[in-house]
Amino acid sequence: MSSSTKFLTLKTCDDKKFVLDEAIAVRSQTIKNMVEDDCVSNVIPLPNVDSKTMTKVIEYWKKHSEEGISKDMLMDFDKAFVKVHHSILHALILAANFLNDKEMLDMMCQEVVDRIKGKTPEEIRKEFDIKNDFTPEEEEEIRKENAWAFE
Amino acid sequence: MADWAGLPHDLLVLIAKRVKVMEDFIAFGSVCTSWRTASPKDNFDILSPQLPLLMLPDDDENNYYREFYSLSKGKVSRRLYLPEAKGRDCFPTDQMGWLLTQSLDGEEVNLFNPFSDTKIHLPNQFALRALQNPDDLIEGHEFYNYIKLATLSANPSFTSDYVLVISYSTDVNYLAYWLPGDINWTLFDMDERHGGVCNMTYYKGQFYLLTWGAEIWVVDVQSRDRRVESHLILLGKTRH
Repeated sequence: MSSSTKFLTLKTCDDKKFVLDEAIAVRSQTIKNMVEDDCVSNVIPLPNVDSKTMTKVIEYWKKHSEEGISKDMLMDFDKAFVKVHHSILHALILAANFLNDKEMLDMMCQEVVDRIKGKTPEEIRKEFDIKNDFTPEEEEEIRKENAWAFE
Repeated sequence: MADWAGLPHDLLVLIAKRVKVMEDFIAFGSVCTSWRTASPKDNFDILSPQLPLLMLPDDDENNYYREFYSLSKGKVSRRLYLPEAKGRDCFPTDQMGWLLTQSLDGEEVNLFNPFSDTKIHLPNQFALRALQNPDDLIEGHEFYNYIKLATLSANPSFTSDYVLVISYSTDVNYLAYWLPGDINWTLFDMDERHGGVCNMTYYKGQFYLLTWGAEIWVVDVQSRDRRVESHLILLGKTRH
């Protein structure tokens, strides 16, 4: 076995290829399992992730794998990293979940929580482009249950 | 377009469980059906610390309602129908959601949680008066046994193993405690007159009392054997 850097090729659902240092790619537990089980041939297909999202994920992985980077610098990076349109946030959550990167998934979920903070249900719907699908009866039931919460 | 309502259930649960502010959690569950399904009450960590709400005094026109000011929202966020609080003195007990209420005539004293509408009946001020040394009693003093401070060791919403300590006014501020099931208050057996309690709090098994004489007393009320121990840990002037 050679000790030199090993590279993996990842292929996203829109057929874009990413060549990545294996040491970085195994931040994904999913990829790590594949590598350890030796089921890696030439190309690892990522059928659930598109190239735009993967570019962001790799940006995150690379920064978090940088040698000698300070905690403060990582914090600043993370802070800026999560400031994306909600559709990208959505894609990153699904990608982090599929790739099984718990650290990244936790961070993205926390960002959703931070965007909910202090908002009314209607404001949250607007923020995330969600349709109110409650029937008038359900709506009334919720209103009763939370009578004190939204006045 | 991103479909946030269609996010897999386990991911929505993951997000819901990270919501630590009660009002946000309720808002989360009121967004749409899938978000509601992901946020049953059990998914909320009831022990996560909440910013307190400030209960505002009686409103003259609507005496049965009390308004609550939200520090996080910077405005009155709730208005509750609370006949229990009408014309009564209410103050906090150090435990989330629990107030001590007392009627001005001294007849009724309760622990009261306005959000769950739960009431725990306590022995009243006359019961407290009956325990006093007759030499200490001043006849005809209207608010003689008026309770001024109340501190709970644990939240009655979650356990019945708690102690309530009160400080009430006589010529000096006296202390008494009550355990669930007790018929009357029990007075603290404290020799020293400590100049009245101006504040108290509970921390890790002990009550800490700050007196007007700038002393801090630590009181240990063991709920099982009812042993009460108190000692002075700090003298305002002499110790460093």
